Amino acid sequence: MTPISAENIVMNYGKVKALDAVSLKVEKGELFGLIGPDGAGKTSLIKILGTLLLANSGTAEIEGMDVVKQYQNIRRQIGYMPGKFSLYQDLTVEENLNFYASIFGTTLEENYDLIKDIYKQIEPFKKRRAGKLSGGMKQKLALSCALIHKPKVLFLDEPTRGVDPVSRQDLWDMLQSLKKDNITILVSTAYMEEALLCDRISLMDHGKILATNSPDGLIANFDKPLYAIRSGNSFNIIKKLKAYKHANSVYPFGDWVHYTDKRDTIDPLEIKTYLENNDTPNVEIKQIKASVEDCYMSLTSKNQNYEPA
Amino acid sequence: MRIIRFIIVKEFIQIFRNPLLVLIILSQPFIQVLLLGTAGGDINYASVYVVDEDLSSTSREIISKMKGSDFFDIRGAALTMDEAYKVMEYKNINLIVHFPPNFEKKLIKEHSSKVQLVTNAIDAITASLTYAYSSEIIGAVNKDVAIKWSKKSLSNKAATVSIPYSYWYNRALISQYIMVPAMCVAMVVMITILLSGMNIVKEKEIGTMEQLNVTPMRKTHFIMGKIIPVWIINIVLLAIGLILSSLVFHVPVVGSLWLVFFLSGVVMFLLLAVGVLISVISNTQQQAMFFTFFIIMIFVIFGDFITPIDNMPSWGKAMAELNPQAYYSRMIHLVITKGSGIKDILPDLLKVSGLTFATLAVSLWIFNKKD
Repeated sequence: MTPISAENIVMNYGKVKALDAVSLKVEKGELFGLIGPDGAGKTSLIKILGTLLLANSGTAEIEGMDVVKQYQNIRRQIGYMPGKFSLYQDLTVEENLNFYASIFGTTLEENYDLIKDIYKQIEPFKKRRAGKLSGGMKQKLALSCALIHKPKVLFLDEPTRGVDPVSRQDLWDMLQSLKKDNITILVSTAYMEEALLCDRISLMDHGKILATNSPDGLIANFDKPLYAIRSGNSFNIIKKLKAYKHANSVYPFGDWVHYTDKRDTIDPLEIKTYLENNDTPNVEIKQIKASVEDCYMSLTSKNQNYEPA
Repeated sequence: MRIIRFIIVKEFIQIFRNPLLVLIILSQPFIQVLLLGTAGGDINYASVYVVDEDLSSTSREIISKMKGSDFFDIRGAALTMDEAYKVMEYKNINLIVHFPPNFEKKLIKEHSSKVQLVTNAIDAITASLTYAYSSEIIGAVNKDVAIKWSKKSLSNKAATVSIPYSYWYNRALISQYIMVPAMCVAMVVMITILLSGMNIVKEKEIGTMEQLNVTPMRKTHFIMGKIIPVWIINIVLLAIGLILSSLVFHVPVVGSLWLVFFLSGVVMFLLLAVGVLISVISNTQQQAMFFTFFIIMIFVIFGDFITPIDNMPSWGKAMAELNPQAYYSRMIHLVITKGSGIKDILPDLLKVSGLTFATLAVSLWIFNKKD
């Protein structure tokens, strides 16, 4: 039985297409990432799968149960952690946990094993009100509350947004460790580098899934040689390269400009010479391995070619 | 049921974590009942100016009778009406009594004569009361004069019919007996709607509603868990209000005190349902707050509090049929002041219950549709 499966989900907000025929399958025990910028449709998809939102069309099943017809049963099996901290700020850590446990008809003691790795980090503050916790600790409390009833499937909507780098790393470590309990996890994020921490990912943009693969598989599929180019003036490089007749894609990447060519094999020197002949001195060029972000950029440019916005 | 209990416990913890809120809620019976119960006093005073162009014994008798009454305060006399009008314009005079020349002569000769009463109608209630009281005094004098003259001409005994009257259910016409229970009603209406309305919207606004929606908790359980604490709080507030009204204003509860609490408990569920409806429609606490004030205003205006419903046009009466405060106010007065039993208020109680189920059903329908 597939823990999460979605077929042709369409979601419209007025004229805006938030989800455009999205299909997805997540396997048991997988840590699956939905990667995409804001507005890609990640939150809508998670809410539909989490029985919080009704899709305009399409079907979805969680653990073999339909999200519309059997939502009551699904809710016993899933944990959900929204992007915004939404626990009771005026209740203590302990009271929040006990409250959510009792709503599910269980107790903190009964499921202590599952959450102890996470909870023991905030246990010293269990008498503190949730509103007075630091961002990282709030995150841990929210995750504990989402896990308090031993869910089979866990949804996390942008759990690392606005969280400091150390807490972000903590959170990913915690998610990795949950895999040993055979919990299927669907997590969304706008940070491309976090994709590498997932077993498989779907790259999303404008309500569409552009590609679904393991991070390594995705990178291996990057078919064109990728060059990183640098000189004193990135803006000038981008302008000149975009005017270059063989250019396939040009985009800034930190201090560097990433470039792919329309031809399959090229000589980097040719590009260097072209740029230096066009008022861009001291060009540094090297071939590099693609990252997830490069894959995303190449996929979105293809996507836009299909359907010019 | 177990889940409802957990929500109730959580609600009480949250309420008592908010000391300012607790203070404001608990101060309500003291402020509303004590302060407003005292401030809403009787009209027991009217200032009078006299223009006596007759200067006869009859006119003086009327003036001296007015002087003798506690109600009238004769501030002075003017020679002409123009002068008196000026006084009314610049000073706070409620009434001008004008005796035209030959007032007494006409009365004796023609058996009829006229006194002019000019009331200052800026305050309509005082004006009508002043008019009624002064006509009564003049009427009494009129009767005396008639008897005096008939004595002279006819036999020594003239038959007169006097009409002594008493105000039933409130013999001394003490306004606090009406005002204080009415203030208790107004307080319960306000706090119940406000607390229950804010309560659910708050969960929407801070996002906990969404978190609760992914749990197997049923919406009916959630609503029950949210409104029962408010119900308990209001029963306590009502008890405080009634204790104050008995200790401070000595308002007698003629009917059964249990019935007062029973009918209040029933009406409170309707008020809670209204609060739930507001919170289901609103998305933010600000919206809910405005909505609540708007509704409370209408409830008060059509609630037998400012204008008696019996004096309203038919559409106003129809609106009162949907108004929890109108039912509550009517039933409370029936039981507290008149001493009615459950049989007398049963039709109202049934209507209130019907409205409660209707409101809750609509709220749940919207709630399920929206979230």
